[in-house]
Amino acid sequence: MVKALSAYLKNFVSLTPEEVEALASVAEVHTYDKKVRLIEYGERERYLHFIVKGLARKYFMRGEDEVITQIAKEGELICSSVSFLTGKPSLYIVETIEPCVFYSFSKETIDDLYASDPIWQKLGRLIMTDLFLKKEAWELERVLYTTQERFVRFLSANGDLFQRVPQKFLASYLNIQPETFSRLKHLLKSRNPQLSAALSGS
Amino acid sequence: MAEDDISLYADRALALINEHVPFSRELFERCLPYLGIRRTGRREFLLRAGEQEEHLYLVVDGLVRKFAQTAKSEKTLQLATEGHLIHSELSYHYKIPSQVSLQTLEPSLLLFIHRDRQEALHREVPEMQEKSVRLLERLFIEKDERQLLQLSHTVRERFLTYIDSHPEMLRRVPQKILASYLEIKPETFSRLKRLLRPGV
Repeated sequence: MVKALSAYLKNFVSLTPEEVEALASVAEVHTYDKKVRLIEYGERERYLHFIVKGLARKYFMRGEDEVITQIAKEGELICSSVSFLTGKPSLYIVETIEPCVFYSFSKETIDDLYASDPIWQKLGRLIMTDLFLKKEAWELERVLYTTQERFVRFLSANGDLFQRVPQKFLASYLNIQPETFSRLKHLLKSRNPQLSAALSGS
Repeated sequence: MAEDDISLYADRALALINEHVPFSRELFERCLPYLGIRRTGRREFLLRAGEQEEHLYLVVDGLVRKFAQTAKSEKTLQLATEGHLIHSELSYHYKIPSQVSLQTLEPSLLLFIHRDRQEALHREVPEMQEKSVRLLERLFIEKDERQLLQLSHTVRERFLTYIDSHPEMLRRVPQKILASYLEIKPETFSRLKRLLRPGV
């Protein structure tokens, strides 16, 4: 378990094994079944979750429809971030897709870390930058690319998720109508041999 | 573009930054040597798509917009007024060509930091690590709130919510650009504007 956390942190700063252990020891280990809601609309987010194993999604409701804004897998973070940062009621719901194991960090834990050593502030800054840039990239993706381009770009970068995530979730995340999504899938299967392997299992 | 003496604007810049994250006068003065100030005309490009972003700007006076050119149209992604931060985020951090352009809509006064100087600042003024985390948190929250407004509200709600909190933008920003920013068709935008007339 610590290995997964250590691999993630390596993207940002180099830490000693003792420092990684220290971080893991202040986290709470949480295990959930699939399709469990970690936070409901209107609740306050208590945790930032690091996914050791499993798959989770974040969404909000537009009328009766779920609009998925994040699908996170092993080695990624998920939480209702704005609620976590501000303490305000959550406008999002976070729910597991597969059974999950998390390292969960409370706000107090993170504030204590920041106060204890500058290395954690640096780590916090770099992780926050990463989250901020991911959000920017998601916004640009939506604006700059056509439906078909979004589909192909996502598939090329996340072929594994096509096997694991229900099609309607992927369609919602990519802002593609479910019928269009099916059509694109069949179209690409016949025309693009490189992508067809990733598509065939979904 | 003209370079000015930054100390002339230090008070005003500090007041604007304080709206995002509390800074002491003393800490801000230690940051000053890392910052620059730049005066621009109207409709001046700070960055064109394809170039690499090297600056993070704070608008002290004026208005800067960020936009992307797609095959079909120009999409305005951000309108930054006094106190707002603006840059081409992905280009600045990943050192890749920018997919967006930055252009002033009014003559502007901009405080900026160069990417390399920001790295030096984090190394040499350790207190800035924590300030940067707080600042990024604020920017993240603002971006999230805008995305949620854009995605979860109807066109009409989006228009009314935005105009209610930014009434001056109807005057400062060409209608076509404002409509693009709010992702509203120009015809719909004109129709919605009529809703605002008193007595209607």
